[in-house]
Amino acid sequence: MSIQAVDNLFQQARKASDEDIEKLCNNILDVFHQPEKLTECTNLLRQLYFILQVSDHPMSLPKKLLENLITSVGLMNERNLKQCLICQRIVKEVMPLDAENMSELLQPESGSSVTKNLFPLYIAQGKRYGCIKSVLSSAMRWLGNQDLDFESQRQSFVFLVAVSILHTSSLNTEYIETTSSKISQWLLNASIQQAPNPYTINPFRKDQTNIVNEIDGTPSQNFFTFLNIGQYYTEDQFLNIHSFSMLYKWLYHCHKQLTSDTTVTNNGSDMSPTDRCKQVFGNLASKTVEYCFRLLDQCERKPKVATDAEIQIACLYETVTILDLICSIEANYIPKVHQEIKRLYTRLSHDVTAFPVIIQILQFFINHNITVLYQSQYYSSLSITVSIYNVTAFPVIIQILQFFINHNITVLYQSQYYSSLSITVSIYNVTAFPVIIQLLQFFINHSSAVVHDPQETYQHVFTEILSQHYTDQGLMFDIVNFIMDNLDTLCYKTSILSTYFPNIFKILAWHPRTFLAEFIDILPALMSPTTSLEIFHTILDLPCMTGALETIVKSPENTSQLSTVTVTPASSLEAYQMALYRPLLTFITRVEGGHGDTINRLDSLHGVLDDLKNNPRVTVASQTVPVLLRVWFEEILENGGNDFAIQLLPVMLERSILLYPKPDFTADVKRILSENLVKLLKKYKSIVISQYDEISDFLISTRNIYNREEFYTNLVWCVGEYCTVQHSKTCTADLIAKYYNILEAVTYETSGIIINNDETSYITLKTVSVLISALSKLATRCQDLIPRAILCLTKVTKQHLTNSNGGEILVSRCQELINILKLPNFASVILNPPEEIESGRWHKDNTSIPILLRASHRHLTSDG
Amino acid sequence: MVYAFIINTILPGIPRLLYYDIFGQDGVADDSLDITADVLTSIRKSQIQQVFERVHSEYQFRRSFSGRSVEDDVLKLINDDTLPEFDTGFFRLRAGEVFQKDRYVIWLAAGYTAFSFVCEKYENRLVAESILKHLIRYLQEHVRVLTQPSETGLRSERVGVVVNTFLPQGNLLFLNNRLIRQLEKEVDNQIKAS
Repeated sequence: MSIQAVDNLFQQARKASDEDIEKLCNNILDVFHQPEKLTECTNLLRQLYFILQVSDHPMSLPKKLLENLITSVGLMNERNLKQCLICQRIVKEVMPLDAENMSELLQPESGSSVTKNLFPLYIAQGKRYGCIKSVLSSAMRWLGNQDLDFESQRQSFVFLVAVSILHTSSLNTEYIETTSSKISQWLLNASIQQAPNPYTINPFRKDQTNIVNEIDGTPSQNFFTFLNIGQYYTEDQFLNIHSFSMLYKWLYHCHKQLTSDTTVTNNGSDMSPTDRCKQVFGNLASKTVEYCFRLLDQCERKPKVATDAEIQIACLYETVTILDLICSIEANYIPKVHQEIKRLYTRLSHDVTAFPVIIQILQFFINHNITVLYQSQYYSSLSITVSIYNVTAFPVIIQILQFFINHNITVLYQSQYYSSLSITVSIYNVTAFPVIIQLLQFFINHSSAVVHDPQETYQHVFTEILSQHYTDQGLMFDIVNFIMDNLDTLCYKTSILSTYFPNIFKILAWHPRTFLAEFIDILPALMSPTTSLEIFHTILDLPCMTGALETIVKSPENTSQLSTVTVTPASSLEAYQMALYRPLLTFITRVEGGHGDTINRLDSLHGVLDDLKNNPRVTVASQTVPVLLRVWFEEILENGGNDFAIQLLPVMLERSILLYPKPDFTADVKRILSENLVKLLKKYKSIVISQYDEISDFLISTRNIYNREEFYTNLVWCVGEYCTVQHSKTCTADLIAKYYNILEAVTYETSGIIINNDETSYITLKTVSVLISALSKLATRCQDLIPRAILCLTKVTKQHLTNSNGGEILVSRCQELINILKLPNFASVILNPPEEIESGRWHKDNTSIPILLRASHRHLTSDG
Repeated sequence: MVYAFIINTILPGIPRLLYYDIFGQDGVADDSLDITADVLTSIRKSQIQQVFERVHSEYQFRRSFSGRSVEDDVLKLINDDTLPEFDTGFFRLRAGEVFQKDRYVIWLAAGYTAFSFVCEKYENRLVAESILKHLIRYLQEHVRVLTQPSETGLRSERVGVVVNTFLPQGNLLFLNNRLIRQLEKEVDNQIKAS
């Protein structure tokens, strides 16, 4: 079997010793320059390459071989390409070279055609020993030389773009300026003739001068782009294609370099980064816009060959991204570009194949909507007036907001104007109250023509696209990236995240293995005081969401009437076709949040999805829940507040049992809920007192111990620990007594259950132990209760004297407590230690009680 | 710019690396000479390994419910000589996770073999997917990468020609159907040469 062959090859290659490799290298050297042994040489080279790739430790090659390999890479041409490429890859495997080899073997020879073939090696060598720096100037010379062939220019360009990506800071303004002006030329000046067929040599053929076609087959009337169709393409047309394909990277990195590097001054004069970009990029921005607009035009044509439709979409995706960047570089393109993008959106909004482009469009809107306000003539008049007047900023903003409220402008606009105004304020540090209000009036009257409200696009992406295409991982990847990149904007300036979080969770529900790390980052942004509880339910029910999505995907589309029978469905698929259960599945896969809660019939939902318990997707989704829950609780404990904790408590009590019945999943979730119950009550201690009704209702029923003993005992511990006047002034002796009564009753009951059922009991001795500790603690705070506590402990002792299953531990625990309670003053100190006990001071400070006790104990025993 | 192109075997058994090509640098201490070339090579190898292991895990997850078996894919290829349907996926690798920079991975898999690109964050994923498909198509044609994965490791000079033409120095190009045909012919000629 072929896969076996791979394994065998691997074993062989991995076993190769240093000697084997040395031998192999020598063999290669023997045949390297013998044309008649080319096949043998190629064989040896690929053996060497394979060993280098699969070995798990680095290897070095003899210098002589390295020299030969590099020389042959330098002499690469079309005929020996195959062999030279493998040489190139072998060298790359052992790169970067050390200083000696670098200076002897890899020095660029200016003007030599060897250099251009070595570009990939220079890139692999990187900045080590000044490699990039010395090659850069050669590459620039090549690029600027008009007499050189297009192929050399193309290779120099590719090298320069690679440098701009990998070593951005190595490019100076001069390099950027020269290269940018070359790109402008290549973009707009490629020939529009088709190349002759290079594979037929026909001296009698008439020289055909066919003009390239448009993608729909009509002859081109305009300049060449990669969407033009010809039989064959010329070198300069290839250069054009390369230019566009690498344009975004070039602009992006150079823009970053020009705006970040404040030390660069042009001609000694200080320029703003924007002006510097304008000067250095020259007319590249305008040529780019021109090229992009032509592409937008070409993408409206129907392709003659079906596969070209794909490249049209990819092209739109790129074009919108490039235009977005251009608008960030030169703001005066915004109005023009904005209009085109809006038009594009209208055209594409219902084209399913174009959905990836929509997300790019939305990104554009987000980036440039606010700036539109400042465009054209208003901008200058605003800045002039602002610099004349000088008023303090703060009251102005309040006035402006008041103005918005009075004029009843949508919330979205409010926040946008608000932020743009605050930008103005911070930029100029002065504001002119009357003038700005005048200006605003002007904007409101006229800017609707320019300002586009992206709300529609938002909705489109986060409702329709998301809920219908969650199975498309590429599209979901785009949306996740979009959310991550704009987390602040989405979170603070729109209500998208808090409205559509159930829909957003579908991405994780369907791709739980792929996007978990991203959701850990997104989750806190989804949470707000109004949504957090609903999100809590959503996380707990994530496996159900996955199950429901699986069901919906597998269900036949649009079957007739839903069945109204009320029998229990045999499968989730059947349930989906029943009027009784369909709403449950629809609810769990809803688009919008805002219910604040979950549904009443959650257990029915768990029931109908029971057949998907072992579905692999549901399993992986259920494994993400503990991770998300931890993030959720961290956020709540950090920012939740007392009021939220009060709302959360009953939900935790309810949900600690109401979980999708998948054993590993429920065990994990219960453990996390139990841990966080303690953390929550520790942070908001007064809840134990203020939420007496909820807690007592829960504790009084021993049925609640079933299947969630840890959760129950943790709550008992919290009551024992935090039901004290120390934590809330509203804690009364009466309340302590009420809690005591409950704990006492439950102690008798649980102790009895254990004795009677022994090994089959679902309650363990730990619960009784926690209960008696808690009730002893309560007794010390209300000393009337001490005799009752002692009586209770005595009874428990008696019950368990003969219990051989660990009863002796409980008995000794009871005895300890009885002994302590017999000395009420000590008991209240020992069972209610002040909070400092946690700081560790108690064990270090010489005046602390434990140290004093230990010291006196030592004295007493040594005396005796 | 595509940082790396990786071919590895997938189910069944341990994933094995068949071929990789790295076009960029990860920026691990470029300037610092404290890190030796050997260390850099080891880092490179372990990064590649982390990527294809993650691809393997994503692919296994897909297969666990797709109901399609590896043998189905291969049979289809051998009998009809048409490319099987590929599982396609994307995942992000955040800065510091595997690489120094934010990158993402696009992978396609069928039969015994998975193919992936490690891309810079801003790389156009639609073009990446389309180029990756072209690469697979021509690699199948010239080295039977899907049906005889062991050939890929051995006929690396052919793989090199295909990759060099369709992914020149790691650059994703916008190619219409005629451009693809032209490059296809170039590959044929170069492989036939000498």
